[in-house]
Amino acid sequence: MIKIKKMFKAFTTVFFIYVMAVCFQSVWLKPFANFLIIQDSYIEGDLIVVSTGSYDRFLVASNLLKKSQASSMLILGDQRLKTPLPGKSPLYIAKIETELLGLPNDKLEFRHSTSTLVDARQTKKLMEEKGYNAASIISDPYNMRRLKMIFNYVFKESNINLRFVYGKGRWHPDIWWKIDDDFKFVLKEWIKFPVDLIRIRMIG
Amino acid sequence: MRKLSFYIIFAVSFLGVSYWGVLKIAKQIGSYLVVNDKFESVDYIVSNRFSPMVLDYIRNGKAKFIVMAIAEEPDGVWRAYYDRGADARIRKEAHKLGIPQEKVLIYKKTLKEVWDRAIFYKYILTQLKAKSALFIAKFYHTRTLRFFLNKNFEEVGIKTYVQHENQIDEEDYDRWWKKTTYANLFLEEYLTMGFYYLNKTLWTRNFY
Repeated sequence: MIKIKKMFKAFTTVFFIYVMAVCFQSVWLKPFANFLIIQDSYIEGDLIVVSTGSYDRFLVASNLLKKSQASSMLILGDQRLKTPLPGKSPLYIAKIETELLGLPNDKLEFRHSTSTLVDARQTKKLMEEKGYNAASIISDPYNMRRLKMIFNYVFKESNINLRFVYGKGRWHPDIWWKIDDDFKFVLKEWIKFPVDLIRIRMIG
Repeated sequence: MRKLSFYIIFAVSFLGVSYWGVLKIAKQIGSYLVVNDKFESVDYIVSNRFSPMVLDYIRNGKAKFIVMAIAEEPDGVWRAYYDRGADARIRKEAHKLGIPQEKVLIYKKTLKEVWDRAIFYKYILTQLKAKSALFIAKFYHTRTLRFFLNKNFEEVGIKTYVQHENQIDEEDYDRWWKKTTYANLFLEEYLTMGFYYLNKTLWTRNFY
């Protein structure tokens, strides 16, 4: 009898937790996305940096380039990756897009990059070469915390001013778990963030 | 000294067994995603291109028709991907390959999510009164596709098969962790299935 009572109590507790989790899903799930989002205000700088990771961020960066007085836009992408267009890499696809959007060719810089860490190193290299002092790093909302951590690590001993800007685009941080793309993005960032954090701490 | 030898042997054995276990699990993670169903013949092949395999099935009478869905308009995607004349180009290509026009059924529909595709094809294939259909997908996507087809097609009585395109290297899924691209793609496939379960558990989304 006592055993049955105990089992009933355990079942009721689990059921109660489950009902609470369902009813208050917005309360406990929203912070997972909010933690990842960091936004600086955009200021006119020398360089706009964007990777070909998503079309949304590329569009935000392209619009900023059109409106601003920035000297250049650095576009980073992995030339090894395959796309639906046979033999064409994301960087090539981005090149076509810049032509379609009518972006000034003399303001564009394309560089091969395989990760966010390489993105940051390529950005630093270009900024040092050109003598730039400020850059706006454009990405998607969920990518911002990891992006900022990695860029700040790479630029830690430089006086370059970095701003981290995202465009909301098609992302839905308030209901991220209900949208397939948002869900995958948030979870991937939660996997990559601690991995990169450990990697950065280990390499100094 | 004896004790030290024991510890060394124990540590080496433990590391060896752990390595073997992790390797086995990692391989399983990759190979689980790959589905390649066997079939005799089907009414329709669902594919987005005329791959050699698709052509072979059509020419050998293993499939009667090809069903293709092409994007309606560029929406949140790189415009280079969007083929404005896809419809005409596909028909031209079919003609060139000697496939009769009536065997190629083209639908204009932008399908972003995998269950959207499953629902759309369920609707189309039901309208076409299909008894069976073969879906061709990228090898790492076959399990997810199988997963959503199972959830959709059981009720309509259409037998579905999933195959991946030929020419895949076993190392692509057996040693997926060697390539970052595959590691990311494989993770996405698991997350797609996880997404379904999370939303089912939280009663947030009606999938069908």
